[in-house]
Amino acid sequence: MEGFVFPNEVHVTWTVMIVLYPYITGLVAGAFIVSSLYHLFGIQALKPIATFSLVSAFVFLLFAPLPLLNHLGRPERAMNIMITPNFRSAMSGFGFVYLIYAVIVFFEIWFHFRGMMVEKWREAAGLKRKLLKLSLLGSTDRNERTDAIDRMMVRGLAGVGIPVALILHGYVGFLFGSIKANPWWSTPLMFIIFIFSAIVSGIAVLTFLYQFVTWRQRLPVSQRTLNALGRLLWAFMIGAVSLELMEVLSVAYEQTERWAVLKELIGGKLFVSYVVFQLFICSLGPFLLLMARTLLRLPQRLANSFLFISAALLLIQVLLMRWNVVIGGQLLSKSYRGFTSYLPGLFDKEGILVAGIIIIIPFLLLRQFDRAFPFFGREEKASAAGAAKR
Amino acid sequence: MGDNTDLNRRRFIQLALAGATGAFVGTLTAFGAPGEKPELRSMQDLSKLEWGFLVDTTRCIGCGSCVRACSAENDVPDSFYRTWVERYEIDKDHEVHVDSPQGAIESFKTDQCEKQRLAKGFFVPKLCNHCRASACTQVCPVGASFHSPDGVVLIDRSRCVGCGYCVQACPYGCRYIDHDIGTADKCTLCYHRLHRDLTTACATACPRQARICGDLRAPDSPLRRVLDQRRYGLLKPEMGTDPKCYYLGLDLEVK
Amino acid sequence: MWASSAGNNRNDHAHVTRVVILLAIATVLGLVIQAVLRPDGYGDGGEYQRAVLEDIISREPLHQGRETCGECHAGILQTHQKDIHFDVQCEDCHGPGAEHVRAHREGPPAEDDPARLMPKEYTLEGCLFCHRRLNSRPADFPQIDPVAHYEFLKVTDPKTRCIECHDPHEPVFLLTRVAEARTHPVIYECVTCHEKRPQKSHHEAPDHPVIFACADCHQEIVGDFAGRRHNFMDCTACHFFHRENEVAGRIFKNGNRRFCLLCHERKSFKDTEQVPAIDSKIHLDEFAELLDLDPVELEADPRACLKCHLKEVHARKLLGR
Repeated sequence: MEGFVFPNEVHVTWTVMIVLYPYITGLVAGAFIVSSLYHLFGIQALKPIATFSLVSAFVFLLFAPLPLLNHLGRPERAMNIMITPNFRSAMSGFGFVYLIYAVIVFFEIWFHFRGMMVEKWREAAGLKRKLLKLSLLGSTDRNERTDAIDRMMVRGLAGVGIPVALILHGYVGFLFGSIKANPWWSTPLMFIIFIFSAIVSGIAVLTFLYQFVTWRQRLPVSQRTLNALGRLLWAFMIGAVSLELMEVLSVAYEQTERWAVLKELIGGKLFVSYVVFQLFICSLGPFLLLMARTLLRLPQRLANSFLFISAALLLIQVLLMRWNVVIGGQLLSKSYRGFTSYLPGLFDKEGILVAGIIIIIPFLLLRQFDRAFPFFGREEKASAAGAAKR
Repeated sequence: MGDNTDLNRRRFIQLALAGATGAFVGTLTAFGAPGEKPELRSMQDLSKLEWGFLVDTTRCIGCGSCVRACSAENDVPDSFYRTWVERYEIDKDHEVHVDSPQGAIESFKTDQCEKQRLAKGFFVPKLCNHCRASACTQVCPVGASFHSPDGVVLIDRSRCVGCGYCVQACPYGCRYIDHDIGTADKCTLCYHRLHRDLTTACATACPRQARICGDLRAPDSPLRRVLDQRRYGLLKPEMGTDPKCYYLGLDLEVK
Repeated sequence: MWASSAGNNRNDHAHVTRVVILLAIATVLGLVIQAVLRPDGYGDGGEYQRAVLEDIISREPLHQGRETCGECHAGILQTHQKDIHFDVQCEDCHGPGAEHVRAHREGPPAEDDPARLMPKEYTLEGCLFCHRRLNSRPADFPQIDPVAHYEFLKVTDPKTRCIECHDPHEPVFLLTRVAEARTHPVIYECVTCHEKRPQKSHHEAPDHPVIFACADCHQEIVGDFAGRRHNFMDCTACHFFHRENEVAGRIFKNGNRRFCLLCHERKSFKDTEQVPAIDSKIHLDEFAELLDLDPVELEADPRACLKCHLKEVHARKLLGR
């Protein structure tokens, strides 16, 4: 602790768990947007990863409440948020929006895979057949029209899902931005900053995994997709970082009362995590790499390595951004006179080990899903086979 | 015999938690001497009162009696504070030094500045401001933080999920999460004492009459009389929380 | 829907209908569950809130207040109320009394009952919570630097507790009841400091910094005091000033024998070479005999010292006697 903090502020209330939650819902929103760019807006370059994006969004969504439940003082009462919600609170939206969004994504996936499940039902026997029929809600008809209806439903849900996804992640930004008591958080821009940042993280994780998995499984990769992702990543990261910087720069320019303490925060406790890592290494770095990749004619392997590195750095950047916002805002005292400190323990209930586990599990789950319904390679193999035939 | 400086803080009665469901009418025992359950007036009668608080920073000596009394009376967990005392020392170069060692629960042991360098020094006790437009009740997602009809901001411990949003939203740093029970906690203006015709533990304990709790609407209450005669300030009025804790002798340096 | 060449039109979106029905059922179920789990009378000012309030006030107050203490400890309370600690609550030093009161009301409590006796805050540190000299404390509040205080009083053992000299219930042995003590203003003549009388009304007096010097009004006595034996002491050492607000306070004269003895009583932990020290009982008996006074009467007279020693402090004629 340095300077003076109010006695109750010595202890940091929102831990690394609360850093993880917006990070995971950010991945959800970003992945969903990418999926919708294909399913709704028909950007063909994204077709190879469309299904993967959709399923990733759902898997991350399943695990989003986990850090929150771990953090709550009384997790057994978590349902109170839907039983006696106080709608004046931004946080009260969580229960309902999350539920509605989960339903939307689930059924988008359901309609997407319905055809495949019907085929599996036809070939299955015994318990597996009964389970498949149950999961198909007993309706096993399949023909051209049902397929068309399924595709239409997917498109419709993708469309409806976009605003809901934006609300699901945007409300977190609003939650922070509307806290007038905290000079680091309070800004009307927070809602938009979080959304842009989320989209960046979503594109980054999809890019990273697409490149990683296809490399590991020695599958052919669609260069067109990578180029599209590279451009999207570059564009959205420019938007996200510009918004983040605008926010800070305008406070620095106006020099209202809070600038003095924020300057000390940025130059002190947050210097390494914010200035050095988030801004320079993980924002400027990817910006230059992606710019080189998009504007210059680079050999393909180099360009793809740049993309991979940028995606990895941006994944870290978004995590750092969440850390710097959530933890940074609590390091500074509302007395405007001092700072406290926070370092999560390794084995704490809300510590580093638990945080690591919570982040890793969705990826492991995706891997299992991939084993049952492989995400990548079918399109490319089919087009390669088709080319060979001709 | 009294060699330890800590007063014995024994754990007294735990709050009996009411069930979350079911309505029940208050028991109709007579108003009480300590030991008898007081009768709560009707909600309509309660809304005719409005509790407020006054802190006289010109009289405070920073002894910490209020912090100790509150901690004992309300079973406040260690290292968290429902009330605390801050000390301000402003030196001749206009540098401001502020401290509050453990909320001043054992007062202050040393000066911050040397006497020759000191221009001005004073103490500011702080507590929940029981704001009329409190940020904490606005942000509680489950409606556990609420205003009583007589203007006291309270926490429904059977409903609170311990999310900590209210702790972040309070501009004054009055709230904390009680990790033993997993819910948010804060000054209740000794609500259990107010309804037994007693005043708050901190106001009772203060040997300098620096703290007054009273009804803002009663024209003859000691609180109202002081407010009508003296000049006072509020903490962070620009936040729009409309606090009901008034400070006599409030210095600009106090945030 | 458009016409199709294969399959029955109505069956083609049967699965969609099933999804919709499933969601509708789930929503209704959810609303029903919410209504069931929601407490009756929930809402601002409703029955549920009232129940919460009743639960909150069911907590027993732990601090009982000095009147309750006085129910059994009337003698101590009476003494306490007469002296300068009258505004210091019993429970400030002794801790909350609820258990103790209950144990004795339901009592008598067992020998090993921890609530049978209240803790006694007699430690040096306890007294210093209020009385340690801090630069931020108002100058007129009685406060000491323990080291300097013991040096002044020639106390040789640094661990000597305050109560060895100061009775916590009667720390300064005041002769007048607090409520009867004279009110004393703190404002004094503007022109003593200001060249010209400032254009301010006396309503603004509370905003004026307090600058209180006895000599400004009481020149004669202060001047006379300067030539007497006790001239190294502050006026306020013996004349307590209890400040009530920025404008006024109460001034006490203290000729109580026990107060004089705070310095002049011979004690084992004091070095009594530099301060004339006596054994009060022996001293009084001696002088009762010498002056042919009734020793019992002399013993009972709280102003006994001043009978002979007033001249060490003030000129008798200046006091209007």
